[in-house]
Amino acid sequence: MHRQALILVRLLSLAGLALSLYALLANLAQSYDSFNPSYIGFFLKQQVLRPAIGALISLLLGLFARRLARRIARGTED
Amino acid sequence: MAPRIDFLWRPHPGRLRLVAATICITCGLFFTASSRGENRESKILKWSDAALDDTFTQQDVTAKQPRRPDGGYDWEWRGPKNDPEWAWFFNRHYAFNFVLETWQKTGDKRYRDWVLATLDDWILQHPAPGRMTFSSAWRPLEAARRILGPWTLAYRVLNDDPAFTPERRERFLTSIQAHGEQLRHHHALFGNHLITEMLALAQLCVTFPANKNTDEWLTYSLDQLEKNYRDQVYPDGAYKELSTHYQVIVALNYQQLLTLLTESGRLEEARHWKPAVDRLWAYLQAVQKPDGSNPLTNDSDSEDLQSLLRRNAPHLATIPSETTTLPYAGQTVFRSGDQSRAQWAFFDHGPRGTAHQHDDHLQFSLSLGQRDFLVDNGRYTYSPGPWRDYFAGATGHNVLLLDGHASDQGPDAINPCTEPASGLSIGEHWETASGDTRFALPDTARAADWRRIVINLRGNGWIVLDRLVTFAPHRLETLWHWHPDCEVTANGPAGFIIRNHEEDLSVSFASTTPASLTQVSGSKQPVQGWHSQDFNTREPATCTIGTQQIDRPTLNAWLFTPGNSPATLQIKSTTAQNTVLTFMRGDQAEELIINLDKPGDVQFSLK
Repeated sequence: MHRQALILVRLLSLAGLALSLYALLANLAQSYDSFNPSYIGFFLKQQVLRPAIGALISLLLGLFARRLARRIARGTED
Repeated sequence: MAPRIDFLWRPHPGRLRLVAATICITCGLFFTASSRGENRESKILKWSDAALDDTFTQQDVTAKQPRRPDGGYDWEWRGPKNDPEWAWFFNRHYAFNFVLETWQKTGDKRYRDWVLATLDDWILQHPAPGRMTFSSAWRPLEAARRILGPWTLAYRVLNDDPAFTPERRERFLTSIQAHGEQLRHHHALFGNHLITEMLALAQLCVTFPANKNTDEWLTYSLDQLEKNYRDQVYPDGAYKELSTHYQVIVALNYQQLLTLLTESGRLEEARHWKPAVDRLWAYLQAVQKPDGSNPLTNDSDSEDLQSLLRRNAPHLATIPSETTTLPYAGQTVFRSGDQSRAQWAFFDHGPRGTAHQHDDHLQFSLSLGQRDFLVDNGRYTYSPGPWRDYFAGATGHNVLLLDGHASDQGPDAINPCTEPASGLSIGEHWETASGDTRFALPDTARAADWRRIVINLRGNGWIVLDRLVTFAPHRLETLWHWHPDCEVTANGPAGFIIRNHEEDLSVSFASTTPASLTQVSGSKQPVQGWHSQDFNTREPATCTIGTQQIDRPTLNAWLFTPGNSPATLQIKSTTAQNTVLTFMRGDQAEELIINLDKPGDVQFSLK
């Protein structure tokens, strides 16, 4: 059971990371020609912040996958 | 005769002129007063006769009230527009006020009998429900309005009349007791309704002291009025709904409380309340336009603030000449020009209001002398639908729309414990205030950031700067709503002249992104280009719409200059830090450098 949980958490982490990177790259690709260093603060908040938070959460999920899987599977082992 | 006048005229021509002028003015005043009196009397007689014919005018709608088969009124009828407001208003019995006045003046028993029959019918049809209800007859606000006006008046006028028989008096006083029970135990939980209801309960206790429980009710109502003043009024005197119309209602209510306390001998309490009531009036004094009327913030109708102030707070009845900011309401009122042709601009950059809100964050309004130019469009209706959406929505205000969506409207209220920064900066030749918000679209939580900066050039006009920061393609619309009396004439591709009677306004536009400017008036699909001075009335009014396709940070600059000589405006350069604008007014070229991140950082130079 622990193994299945670990695979699921890692899969979730990978999917989240892929989605976040996709969102980040799409945002950057769509707005590279309107980028203006004068407005860097706004650019980060509007275009980068959300996908970056998504990627960070996915990475943390991957890093703590073993521990999370153990918790999820606790009490289900025979 | 001729020699005598000559004898008087030669040594004292000034005195004779003075005597002649005094006679003329006295005659003029006499005739005006008498004709006004006649007008009022004839109007009241007309309304009273109409009431006897079952025809009533409420909120600018006139209709014949249907009757039930047994002869009484249909108290639930929603009027010709199927609007619940009609039924609520009809159950307030406002008609008693003028019909009773006509009875007193004419002695014609038909008027008295109509009031008595209507009272009999209403009391018979409407036993108190003993619970909170929003029914036409027993919504607590309607119970309060009956007590505050028509029923108290009816009791005072009819009490000694033989037609007000003991049985009638008994029924009436039983219903008064029921009104008291309803108002004490089933009142609104908050808002302007609660204040009106508690005032009515206090008045009921003072007017009908023989009723049961009046001591407890009076203590309760006065406690509630005190608590709700603390909860619902900002330290700058603004009532938290931030509607000038409801501000007037609340100010009148607390003014009536002062009268009530004074007349019932509670002079110490009246003295305690006086400064608090004055603050409510002081807010209205601060925002009033040069013609003495109010800006139509949130759900508002046009009111004559000057008359209200003269009647209720005469020491506040002057129109201020200095720019002021109301930090809690988040409103800046720019004032310039001389007293005879005062210039007024209103910028709303604060909280949204706790009720009756409109999507009007960063609204800018403008008046010159006695004439309105840029306006807030009023409320028109409370019935859900496209008209309500227009008048309460962003499309009915002088704001920006991104892909047709309104900006984030900010919080309903702010914490009054700490005074917010006013946002007003004052320089030698200018005053400036700014506000910020953002646009959230269905698929993007933060699609764009919008900062609006208003610069008052102290008698020489206003500059409105809209900085929109985005990095994705969007359609940006800038709306300017003109008063219905304004004629808009194009003046080149990026300017126009607005005329309202004797006043002119020249408008010039510049942007970092190309724009198309169109005028819309009286469109029903989609609803656009309408103005409402009073509830239930609307008229076409021009709306200027600037449309742009943007995909990067954009700066729009609007120059509004009094007079009809065209002014031109140019954005010479812009970065996030410094924006350089040049504008020509007459033969003067001026340069303005402003730091958009610090809107108080403005430099002027004359070329």
